[in-house]
Amino acid sequence: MTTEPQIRDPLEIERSEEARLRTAAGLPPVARSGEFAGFESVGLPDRPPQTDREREVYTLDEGEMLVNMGPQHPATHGVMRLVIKVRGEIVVDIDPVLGYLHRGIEKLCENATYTTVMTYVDPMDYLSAMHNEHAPAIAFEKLYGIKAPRRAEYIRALVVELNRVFSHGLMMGFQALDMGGLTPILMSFINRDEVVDLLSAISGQRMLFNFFRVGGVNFDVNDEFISRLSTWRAGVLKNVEMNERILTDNEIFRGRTIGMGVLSGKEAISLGVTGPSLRASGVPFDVRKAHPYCIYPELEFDVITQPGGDVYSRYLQRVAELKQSIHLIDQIVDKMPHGPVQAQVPGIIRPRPGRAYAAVESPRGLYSVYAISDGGPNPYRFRMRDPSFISLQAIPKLMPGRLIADTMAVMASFDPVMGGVDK
Amino acid sequence: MTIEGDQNVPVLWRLRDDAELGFWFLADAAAVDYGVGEHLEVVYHLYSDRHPSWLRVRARVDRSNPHLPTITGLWEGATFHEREMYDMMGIVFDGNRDLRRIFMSPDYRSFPQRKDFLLPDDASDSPAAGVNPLERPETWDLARLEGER
Amino acid sequence: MALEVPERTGTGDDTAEPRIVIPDQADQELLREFGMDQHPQGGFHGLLEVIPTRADWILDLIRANSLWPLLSGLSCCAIEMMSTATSKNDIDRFGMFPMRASPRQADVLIVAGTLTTKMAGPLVRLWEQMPEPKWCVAMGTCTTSGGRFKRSYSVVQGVDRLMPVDVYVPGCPPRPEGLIHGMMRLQELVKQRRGEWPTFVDRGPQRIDWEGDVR
Repeated sequence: MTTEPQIRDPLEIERSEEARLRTAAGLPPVARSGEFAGFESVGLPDRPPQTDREREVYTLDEGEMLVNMGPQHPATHGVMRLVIKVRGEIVVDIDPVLGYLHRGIEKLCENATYTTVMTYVDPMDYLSAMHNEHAPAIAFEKLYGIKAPRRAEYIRALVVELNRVFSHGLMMGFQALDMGGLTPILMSFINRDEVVDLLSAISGQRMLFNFFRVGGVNFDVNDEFISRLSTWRAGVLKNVEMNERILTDNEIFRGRTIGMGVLSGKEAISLGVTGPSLRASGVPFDVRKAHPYCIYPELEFDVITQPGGDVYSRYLQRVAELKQSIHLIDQIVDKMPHGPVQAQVPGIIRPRPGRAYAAVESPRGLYSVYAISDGGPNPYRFRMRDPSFISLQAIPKLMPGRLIADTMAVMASFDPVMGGVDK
Repeated sequence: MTIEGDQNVPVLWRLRDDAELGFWFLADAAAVDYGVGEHLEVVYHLYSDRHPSWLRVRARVDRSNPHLPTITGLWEGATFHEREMYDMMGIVFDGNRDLRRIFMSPDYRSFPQRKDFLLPDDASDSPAAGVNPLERPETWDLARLEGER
Repeated sequence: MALEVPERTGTGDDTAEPRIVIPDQADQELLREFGMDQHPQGGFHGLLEVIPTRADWILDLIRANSLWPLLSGLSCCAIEMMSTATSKNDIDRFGMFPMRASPRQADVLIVAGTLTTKMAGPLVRLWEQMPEPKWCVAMGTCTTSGGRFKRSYSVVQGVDRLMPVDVYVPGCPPRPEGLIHGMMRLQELVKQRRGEWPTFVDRGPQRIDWEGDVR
């Protein structure tokens, strides 16, 4: 019979092992609390911290560790790097590192004609490409001094709301996918495929529609399309409700999202968060009502808000807006007038020198364009303000105190799209 | 409205907190470069419920001394805006606790959206031209390829 | 009785059928005629040439029918890749459903989306971490040649500046059917052992030689 060795405290074992490793590496045996950890733990070359905030994030206290959720991770928002400072499993601080998809679109647009700009802005927020094109179209029309014909405005609103439908549908899927549920994403993609079939019937492209033009839209909508649209419309609510039935009353979903990532209205305004995330915190700010553009003054709809500012509210907000968009599509199809779909505009337009600002409500928030023209064929300065970019600032504010797994849930609730974040 | 650069904080504060002006929402903060000999400009767009249109506040910045006080005290969401303006245009915001590059790598040395930063007209002028084997027919000899492999 | 194969005539006959040449199935003479004999053709050279046995052939078949892609979706093409993986265009029929998150378990690196200079480092590290045999598919025009961002200061003009690519799938973004077509061509390459990366030879840990500045 052998006697069991006395079981030592596992933390003590760990510390002595750590001391041994540190001495072997030439470091002092015990990490002093508040020591700057440097960047090697996240795989970057060593350099001094550049700013106060960097020093704050990369300084490790007792028991803390830096974990790198690298640019390639299964959470499907794209390429973003989150450096998470954890104590055990609890998040203490987060530093998002962006720029892995920066393509220099603003600079490229300065060397492109006003029509070519439409092809450059598409892949920014690639899930809502129509909104990406809507704002520059409005801004350039303001610069040029024309208005699009009424039928064009109605078609614009139609495709924009269709885009919103599938974008919010995808958010439902991604929210579940980031928390581990693999079924809703399949339903979302079925929904998306149906909508994208319709949109490709109008514009010819499945995702990066090059559809808007200065002065209208590119192609017209015919009766066959309207009948396809009504066939789709008859089936879409069933699809969305199937997804809802999986998620909304699901114990696991509710337990993981209610009370998580609570963002108060004041905080949200201060951080610049807009769109469904802001309205889910109770602030009734919708660009379609606040500063109406296109034909939204003629459509009847209310601004939906949700009381709690947590992840569950943001999910409910997006589902409610999805259904609202479907009602809007019904109204648009009823009221669509006849007429031309593109104003008479030369191929290369040369607006008079001036400045224009146009904002639209994209599924992620306030998407705006600030364009300066100098009289030539290219815009002098073309600046896009992307909502996902600004919403990401909420992440370091919301996460401390939560577990790592909640990070993905909260991030998915803001529905960022890295193409827009990094331009 | 156009203001001098160092006045941006008091002006925006007044615009935000005044009862009848009430511009509570900062929609956009952009930077504009007016050319090589000219000044830079930071443009803020604000929204208020009581006014029908967006308010544009343009703050002039000298090219030789591109410093500007930060507005992160008013709106925390301006941090990323200011980081982007620093990264792309080189405007330094004093008081911003996190003024590092956001899009380019931390050791990048230029400011891409300045007007004196020119895009290459042909991609093969770029420094890594010729790395693509399809552009180098002399590498199509299989025997030499084997040696390289 | 032998089957009579009609001889093809190479004269400019108007009534003759146009010849459709598939480069990977053409012989040297045809390639020379089209000026494509100097292009790099995959396969083994010299010492690496092995005579495939029956067992190897079955192994190739198995490999081809269960290529596991790495979830390396960077940008818009990633959404189309996900659309290919979901119900309507199901890539699970080809055995490619498990999109592995870890490079150690993946066979194919489908580079879907624009590759920027900042992301080039991590992507090459992912490629190096993938164990052999591995293949690379450049999906979309951004990875083929820079695409619509041809003059950009931060987009790598084609992922073949960094790693050997087996299949290029053009499109912006390519339709899911296009990606499936590309993956089926990749399956053919796998079965015929004609990938770009010399496979089936274990050469230990790899380091790819690429310039730091890959604009």
